[in-house]
Amino acid sequence: MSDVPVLKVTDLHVTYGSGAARHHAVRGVDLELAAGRILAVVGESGSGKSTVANAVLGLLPDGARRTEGTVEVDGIELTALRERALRRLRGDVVGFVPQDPSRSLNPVLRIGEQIAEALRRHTGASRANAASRAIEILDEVGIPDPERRARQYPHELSGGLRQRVLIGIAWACTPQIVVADEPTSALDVTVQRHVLDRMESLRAAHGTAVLLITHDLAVAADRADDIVVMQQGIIVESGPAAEVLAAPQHEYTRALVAAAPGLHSARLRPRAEVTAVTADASGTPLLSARGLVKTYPGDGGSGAVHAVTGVDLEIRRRETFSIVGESGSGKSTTARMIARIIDADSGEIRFDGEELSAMEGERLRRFRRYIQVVFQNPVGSLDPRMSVEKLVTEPLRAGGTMSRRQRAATAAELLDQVRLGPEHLERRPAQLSGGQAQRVAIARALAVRPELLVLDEPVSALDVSVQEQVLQLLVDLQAEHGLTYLFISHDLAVVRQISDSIAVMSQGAIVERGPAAQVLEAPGTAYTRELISAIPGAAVTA
Amino acid sequence: MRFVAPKVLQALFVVWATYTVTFLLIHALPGDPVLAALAVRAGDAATTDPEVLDALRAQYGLDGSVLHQYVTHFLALFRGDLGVSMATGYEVSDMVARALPKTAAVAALALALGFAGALSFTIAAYLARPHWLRSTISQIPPLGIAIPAFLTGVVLISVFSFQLGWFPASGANGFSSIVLPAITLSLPTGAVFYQVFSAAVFEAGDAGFVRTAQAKGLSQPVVIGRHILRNAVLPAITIIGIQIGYLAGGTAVVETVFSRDGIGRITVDAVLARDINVVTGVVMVVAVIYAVTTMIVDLLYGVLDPRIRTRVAAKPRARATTPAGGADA
Repeated sequence: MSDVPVLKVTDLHVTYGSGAARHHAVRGVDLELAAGRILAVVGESGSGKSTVANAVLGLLPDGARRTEGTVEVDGIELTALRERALRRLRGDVVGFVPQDPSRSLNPVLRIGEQIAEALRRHTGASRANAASRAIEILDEVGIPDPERRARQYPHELSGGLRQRVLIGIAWACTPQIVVADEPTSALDVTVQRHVLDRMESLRAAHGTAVLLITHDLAVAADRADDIVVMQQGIIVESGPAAEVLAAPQHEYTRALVAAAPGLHSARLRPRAEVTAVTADASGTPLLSARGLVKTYPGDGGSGAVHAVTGVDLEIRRRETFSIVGESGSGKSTTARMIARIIDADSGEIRFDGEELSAMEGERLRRFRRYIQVVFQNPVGSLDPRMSVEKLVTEPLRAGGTMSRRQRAATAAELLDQVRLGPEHLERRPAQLSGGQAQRVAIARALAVRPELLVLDEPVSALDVSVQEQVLQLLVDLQAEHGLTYLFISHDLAVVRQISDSIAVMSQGAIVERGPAAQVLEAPGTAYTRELISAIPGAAVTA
Repeated sequence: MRFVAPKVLQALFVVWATYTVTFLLIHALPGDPVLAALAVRAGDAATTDPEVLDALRAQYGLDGSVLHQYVTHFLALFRGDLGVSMATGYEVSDMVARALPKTAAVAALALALGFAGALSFTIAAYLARPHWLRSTISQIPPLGIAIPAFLTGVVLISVFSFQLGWFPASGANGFSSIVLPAITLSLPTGAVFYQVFSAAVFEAGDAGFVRTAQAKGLSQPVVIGRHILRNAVLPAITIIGIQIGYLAGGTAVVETVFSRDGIGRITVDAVLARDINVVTGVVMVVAVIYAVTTMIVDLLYGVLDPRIRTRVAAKPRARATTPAGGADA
């Protein structure tokens, strides 16, 4: 390994669109990356970090143009090359790991073939050699039973395995540089850790330089040698990872460090200016569930899926009760049964002393206002053709008619509660950022003055800095309105910021439960310990 | 087998439903069909002798109660017996059997031309830069459906038959006679293909896996052929079924313009002559063709799309067993 950089980006400028709609996404970025090192580019959505990644690949999207600057890879200036020459370089000298494994593999080609075609293209391997080398690569990235997997199609693999395949594709021709654009943000934290481990070991084995794009400073802290922080198209801070995290110089970096859930273990408190309602001393739980069971019939004879196999839980008034677990653990199914979105096969749910599980028809409909749900994908859960004003007041129309003025006033008040200004009333979901859309979804849930909010992964689709703002809002609202939360998440780092009680779910059952501090500090099961150790940022906080 | 059986039942249902609706519509028409047919043929000289009429009814299978006719005609379908034409006296099945190959030849060529044309336009539009060029190319294929077939037909005849003399203007002799009718029909067919195909190609072109393919450094033809088209062809195939159904019945105008015999001409003549046996027969043949092609397309879908194939094979879903793969995405 020499100190000569294999990647050198000099004064890079990229713009999108033209004329009045012109947007200057990257404004003079300089980067250097030496062989065998990991450089993390950290920033929020819209900071220009993905555009830098695209420019290094020579794959800027339609409408984007490099207006100034150069990108040199291994001494070759990419910006001077024609498209045909670039295609020879991509995959051979520069590898790429995309963000979303569920969409990044061709659904109609076999796994092995998707690796082999890159080998045939760049190494000139014969069909048979490429196919057998593809199986070796699957083995190298830690995919069990590689011969069988190579013959399967992407939909037959889990998200974590698909991302390993994509890593295998990126490293197939042992490139000098691998660009990884948010490689794990679509994965569960435990899977994220294994995938990142795999990338690190490939880096070590081949001396590859890795450009890691991420919004999560904790991930960067764990994995990178150097960190570059980007905001609005410029680099605001750069340096060795340990230094940047320990003594952030720029105010934006400090905000990112403060926001990264992995780097903070304390529960969020309501802000000082929030006036809390006085606590209700009543000891009876707001909601209790006994023996909840849900089995989904198998499709096409593949056997029934036992999603939830007997869950008991008790949620006290004004607490945040969190269920944490990986995809497929049954946590969302449990939450949906409690909100009566789906019916339990058996079991009993009592809400405020009344048997919720036995309610039907009109009585259930009237009861629904006490339990409201906020879903993971904020944009997907809002009707794209409705204005924000209509969206947040829609639940109220079920209770009777309102005059136009009343409705506008109520909507403004609801938005104010979620700290959004009245200028958002006329906007449509597509005009909102992810964080704003989630605030609107929370305002809509609050419209009918519920007692219990079921929050199903409410911040998983958001950038960490926005995550933190939404979590703070939830904590404030809880104090203001005396709300009770059922919080669902795969991310223990987020859970520990908001929970009073935690239940850990695995394979349809609760494997551990208790007060948050006890579960986090003295985990009783290996599974919980695994979840805790998967929280990124351990390198800094430990 | 579990995949095939419902599709076959579906096809049978379509045929039965078409038969029932056609039967009901024809019997809901006022007046006696035999009398009406005779009146069209002979005008005021048509016989009204009840005995003669009864004999004719029996000859054309129009005697007995409505329910009796409904059942016997339906059962006769399975023997390939479509009754006798009142206007010509021929067996309807013979008439259709003679006309069908001529229509099929034109339709098959039209389908192939339409598909090839839609494919070329789609790829051209996908590769076109800058944006205005792409928009311009995208505007051309819809013209195919906007210009009526009789106009295209007449223009083609005057240019390629009368001025250049390359192809005959009418008749049904040999391959050269099907070229102009096929081109005429391929325009609307291709336009519909283009709508579906281009939407699918542009969608696939934006997909993450195409980015992965680009990042692998694959050549442009490989990216387009293996990654984009292989995925885009799936929705386009669905349309083929509908197009074949349309071509089988929708050739009347073209056959009239080019003075060809075929299914379309038979239908027009039969309707004008109130020849209900022929009308029913043609409708049923077209319904069967439509049902069978749709069924084949559905089955083909299962072959081409591995996601459907897995569901069909009813294998247990692949579940990862490693810690990292524990999530079933």
